[in-house]
Amino acid sequence: MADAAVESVADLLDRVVHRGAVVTGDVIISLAGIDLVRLDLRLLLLGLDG
Amino acid sequence: MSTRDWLCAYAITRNRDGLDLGPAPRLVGYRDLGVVVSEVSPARFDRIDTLDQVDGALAELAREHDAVVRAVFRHEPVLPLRFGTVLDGEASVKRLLEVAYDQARDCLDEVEGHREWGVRVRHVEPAATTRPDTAGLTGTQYLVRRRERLKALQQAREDVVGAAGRLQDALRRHAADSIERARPHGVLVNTAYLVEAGREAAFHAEFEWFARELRAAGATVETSGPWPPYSFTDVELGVPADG
Repeated sequence: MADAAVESVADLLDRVVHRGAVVTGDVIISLAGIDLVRLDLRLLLLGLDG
Repeated sequence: MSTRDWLCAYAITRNRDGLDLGPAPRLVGYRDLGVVVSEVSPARFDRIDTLDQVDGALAELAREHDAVVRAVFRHEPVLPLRFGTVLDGEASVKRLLEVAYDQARDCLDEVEGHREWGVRVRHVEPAATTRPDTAGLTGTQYLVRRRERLKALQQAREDVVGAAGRLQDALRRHAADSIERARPHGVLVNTAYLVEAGREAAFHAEFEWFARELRAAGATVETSGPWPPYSFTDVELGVPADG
């Protein structure tokens, strides 16, 4: 996939997965895997060397 | 625990009648605020493959999330909720709004009328160790050539860094807020700006002005957006356990 496409997905994931308000407390269901996703996303961003 | 009532929550917005959200999502309201939710099957999230993010299930789900947030954002201000926010039924959604009402409303007021723009400046230097064409040069000539080359690289670097700094100063003046994002190797600027609708034209004019200078100095410059204000709603809405 072209760098620009990788970058635009990274821009999207960084906003949607990393940002936005976080809800805590007993109203929320924790989904397994989401924290793993964050970790891997960092790796992806580090790999975008152009 | 029953998973039948699980609701995927996308964003907090104004509680207005007639907000057209398309077929699936709906608004759960409390006073003048509402949470945009849709029924979700937890199995959908099981498909996330953390090794295949670019065109895998995560990217697909993230695009869906973004599409819902944008559909609301076209008509109303949004306080986007982080991807994967799943609430335990409608009563939980209402409790979230009751408990976090003031915080959510303040945050929504702050971003109302604004959009987010991303600006990225990338400058990849040619390797300083690349050998110049040395054919027919004496030792002294070679050293002179090499020194000139290093000096030119240094100058180019200073030009780009200087122009990038001026770009950021200028854009900040037209933005309500700004946040620096992660910068992979070779990226000099990766900043998100929160820009009021009335300032967007001036913001982009300034961007174009400095982009010319940066491109002339060998940098790649680009914007992304407009985005809903994802990067400027980094709050924690805590709902303590029922006493």
